[in-house]
Amino acid sequence: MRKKLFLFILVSFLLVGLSTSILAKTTVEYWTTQTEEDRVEVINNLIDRFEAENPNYEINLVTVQENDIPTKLVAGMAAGRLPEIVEMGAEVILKMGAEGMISKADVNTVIDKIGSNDFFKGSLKMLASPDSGYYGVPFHGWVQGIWYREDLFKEKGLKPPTNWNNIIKAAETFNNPAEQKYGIVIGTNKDAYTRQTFTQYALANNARIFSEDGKIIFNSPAMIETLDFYNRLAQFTPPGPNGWRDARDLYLAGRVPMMMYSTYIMDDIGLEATAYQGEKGSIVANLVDKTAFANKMTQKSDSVFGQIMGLTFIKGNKDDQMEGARLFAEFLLSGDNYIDFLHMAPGGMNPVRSSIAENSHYLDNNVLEVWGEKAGEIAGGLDSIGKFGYVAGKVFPEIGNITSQFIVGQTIMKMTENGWTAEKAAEWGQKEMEEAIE
Amino acid sequence: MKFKTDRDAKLGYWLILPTVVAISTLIFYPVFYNLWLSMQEVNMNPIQPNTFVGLAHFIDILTDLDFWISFRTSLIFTITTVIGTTVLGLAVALLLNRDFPGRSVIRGVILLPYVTPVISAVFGWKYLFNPVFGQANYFLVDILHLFPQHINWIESPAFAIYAVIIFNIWRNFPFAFLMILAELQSISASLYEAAEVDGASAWQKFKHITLPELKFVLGALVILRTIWNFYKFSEVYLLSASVNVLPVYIYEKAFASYDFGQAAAISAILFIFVLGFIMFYVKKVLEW
Repeated sequence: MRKKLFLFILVSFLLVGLSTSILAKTTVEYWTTQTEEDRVEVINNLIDRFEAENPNYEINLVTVQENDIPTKLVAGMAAGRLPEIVEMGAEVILKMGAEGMISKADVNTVIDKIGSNDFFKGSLKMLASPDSGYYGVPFHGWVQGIWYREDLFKEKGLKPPTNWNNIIKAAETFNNPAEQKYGIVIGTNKDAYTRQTFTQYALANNARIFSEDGKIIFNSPAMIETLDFYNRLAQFTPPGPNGWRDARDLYLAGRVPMMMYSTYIMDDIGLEATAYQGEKGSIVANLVDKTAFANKMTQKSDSVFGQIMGLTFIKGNKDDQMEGARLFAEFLLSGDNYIDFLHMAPGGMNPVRSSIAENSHYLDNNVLEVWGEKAGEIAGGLDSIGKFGYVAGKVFPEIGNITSQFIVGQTIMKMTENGWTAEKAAEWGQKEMEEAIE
Repeated sequence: MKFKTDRDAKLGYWLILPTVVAISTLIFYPVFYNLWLSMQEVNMNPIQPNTFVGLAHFIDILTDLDFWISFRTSLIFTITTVIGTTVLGLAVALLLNRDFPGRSVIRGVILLPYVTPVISAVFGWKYLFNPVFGQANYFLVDILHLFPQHINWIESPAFAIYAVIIFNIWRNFPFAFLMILAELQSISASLYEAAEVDGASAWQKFKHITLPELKFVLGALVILRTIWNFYKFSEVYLLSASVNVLPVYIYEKAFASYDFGQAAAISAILFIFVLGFIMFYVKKVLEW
């Protein structure tokens, strides 16, 4: 009797082992910077849909905060455990590409399969590898600029904040710290947001981090001039270092009439005008109608700043996992899947495929309707983005080392918090950047 | 020393083997791996080999001004928080060591800061000290007019260290409180009665009975809190990125500058420093 029981258990164990090995799925790990709960839910729904269509694959979703990406990547590299597919900003992708971590063949296969003509040219440029081909598949993008209260500007007879003079004049006019009202919010902290807001001022003044031959020129007269202006403008910001959260909260609460932000704010501002029933907080009434967006800044030249998020594939994983990753990338970028993805932050995430941008199903969304024609104009900026890592058609992946240490933000804090002059701060930044790209 | 080889001894070796293996893999291996890393220029790409650089990292660090600034910040943070948590814990324990209605409820409430998850506590404090909406600014600036304008307590490098120290004391004093209270309750009441008969004042009773009785628990608290806070990362970094204590400095070296070798060398230096401190403290202060 005992023997029989033992045999039975043994056989059933064997059977279970056998059946799981037949049913075993290929696991594909996917990293995304979309960490908000409702966005994760959208992605999980898309994953369910993908897994139903492709029963051989299982997608393992990992969310990573934007500012933590450098950390997580290094830890993953050191442990030899990197994901198959990641969704990240262009600079991080370039840096990984320069380190030889990206499987360019897989990237190019996906781009060809979707059709490189359907991608906006500006978005492909941001992910191009310095020699040929691409380090990442463009996925979606945002544009940054100054969001401002058109109604208050009219009341005071101020001109739209499209050049330095108009911006600082308006900031000075509205700044009233005694009542906790401030002129503007721009980045003044050691973070990515500060580099992003500062970049637009620098590019408008033709100030760059890299010269065409790849030398650091952060202490150029144009850059010092920009730093000095930025420091003067920072006098009219709320006390202490500011980040994106301050910009968003204070603008929605009516404490600042201007702030720099990406198109992701459209969702926050626009929700109030839709039938949205969730928690609203205390948002200024009818903020959509009162808000205008200056996405182009003009000083010595025009500058538009934004970010292209791309999908890319990491080398060193198994072939079947890479195939699953490619399939998943194509799945995310096609038809209704893509539209559902973009609608998780309507207006914030803009399509990089022209066929989707014009798709009526894409435009059929509450928030996008509330913004009306403004939405179209905003997305148009995506094609003319300028950034520090790109000079005269050349790509400098070394920018990734500078951004991961937040050197631009630290340079600005030296002025705003320690009272350094622009010259001294620029020299400090120059030295740090030279060390960073060694 | 000679290794015994009789049967009992062999059994003994087998019995301690699991412990030896566990300690070697969990403690000795990481320590030696770290020391080995500190002498390498670590390549981020796992496929490419590291290069041996000897003591170069140690020389770089010890001649780097940023390291010494961080070291000073760490010392200030550790000394103030160790004194703060111990003194506050002692004071609260003395107050709550007498009978009054609702004593057990109050004792429970006191423990809340220590048991709250650090991230929720941090967000609460961030709002409390928010430069525009925060109650701290409202109270200190708008009502009491102690400062000319609102201050960004948490993010400004000039003020952040105070916010971090206060936060750490608030969060960790209940631990000291708990340990001291337990010890206080074990002091025999007859000692105090005898002192009263001799006409001792409250201060004299505290100085000659309570403190000597508490000596070991206080000594243990100070050394534990010193070790913990010298290596404190989460409570500092989560609250403010502007306070560059040594663990934060290591973190940034390793993960923002991708310099694992240097980061390992800094931890080796800290290890030696803390080990030296512990040995001195145990011998001279605790007299063990």
